[in-house]
Amino acid sequence: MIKSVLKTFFYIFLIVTVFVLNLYFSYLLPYPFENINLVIVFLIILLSFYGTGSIVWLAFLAGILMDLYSELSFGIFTISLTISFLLVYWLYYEFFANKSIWALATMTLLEVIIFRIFYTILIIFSNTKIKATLFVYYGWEILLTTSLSFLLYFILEKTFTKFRLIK
Amino acid sequence: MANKSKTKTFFTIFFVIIFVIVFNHFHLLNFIEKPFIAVIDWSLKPVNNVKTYFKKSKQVLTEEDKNTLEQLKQQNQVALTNIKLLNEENDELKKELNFFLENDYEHIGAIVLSRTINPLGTTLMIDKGSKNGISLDNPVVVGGGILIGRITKVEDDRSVVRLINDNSSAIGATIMNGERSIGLVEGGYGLGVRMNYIPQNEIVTPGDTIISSGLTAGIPRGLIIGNIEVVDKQPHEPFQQAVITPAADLGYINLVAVIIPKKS
Repeated sequence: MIKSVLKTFFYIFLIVTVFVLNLYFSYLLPYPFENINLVIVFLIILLSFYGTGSIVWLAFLAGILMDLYSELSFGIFTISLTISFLLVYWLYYEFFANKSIWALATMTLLEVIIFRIFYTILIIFSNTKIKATLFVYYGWEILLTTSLSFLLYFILEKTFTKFRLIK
Repeated sequence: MANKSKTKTFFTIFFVIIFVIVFNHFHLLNFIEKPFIAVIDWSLKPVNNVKTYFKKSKQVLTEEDKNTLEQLKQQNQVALTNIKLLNEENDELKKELNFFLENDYEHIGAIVLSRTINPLGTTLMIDKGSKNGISLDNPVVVGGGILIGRITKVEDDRSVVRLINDNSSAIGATIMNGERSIGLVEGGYGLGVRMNYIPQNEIVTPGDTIISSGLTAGIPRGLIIGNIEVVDKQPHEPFQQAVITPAADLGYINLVAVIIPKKS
């Protein structure tokens, strides 16, 4: 019981740290690297590593943190991130549970796409003006986030035996 | 069985999200949110120092830069002298006319915490909020009078500033040319700032200074926005456009001042 509570606090601490790092990234890195979504990279790697449904609740917490640091209506990030991770978790469970690096890259790609689809629908509903150039940002985010998760997983896989591919 | 479990999970998550959104709307989750915000804001404080450090380390002045700097210093000195003379003349005229100019605004200094997470906009989060008298649409300046944006969201202890290069930003502006042309300064996803709806028949030249026109609610006239870089004039269009170089470097902002109406 205590172990489980401590584990929960540890994950909350981790997600807050990654979120702060993400804010640092978006503020310090030049265009287009500011579009890297570190939260998604972290959650996808965690999903590949543990394969647990708790990832959806972590995504929910990350979504709340994003909403607290956004000028948009509260709930847009929470809904988009949670629902997208719920769908990606199901996809992982059905198709990508083999812990391959290509499965991870595909999951990251799908996650960012689903997340941004929900996000765009919700901002249109909240009467926020959008322009075509927004999709250029989405393109960079998809490319860079997928590349980073691919690279990180590759490094982790080489570093830790637990990450070794199941052949 | 698996489908039943999926449906159950989906509805649980759905109801928790609804619960959080509704409770947040009525500020019932403040007791949980505030400690998180306090910790994150505290961790974000060094972000500006890091950015300034990298900016400084990148700055290497060439011989040409030094010459330009020297020329600018001299021009600045001449301009300051002229301003001083004009101020003295202005004071004298005011006295003669028994004129009293009342300043209806006051400034609130604030520290930039970070950019907000939304890729749609170019916004900053500052460490002052409604408790300090800040309200929606208050203009935000740096360097005493350079407009960088407006307040777009206010909470008790912090606010969000929408920068002038944000795609949703639109501010009434005046060009300091012969005709004092008016137009609308609009941003484009952080990639640039343009002035639109400038009447076609008016003469606009690169280098002209742009100031706030005072026609946008809450933004006083005379705040410097930037200079015209390129003029885009098409003979078949009723208006001309101009690309603007903002007077402040919008990527490196540490301290700002929010202009609020003076309390009576």
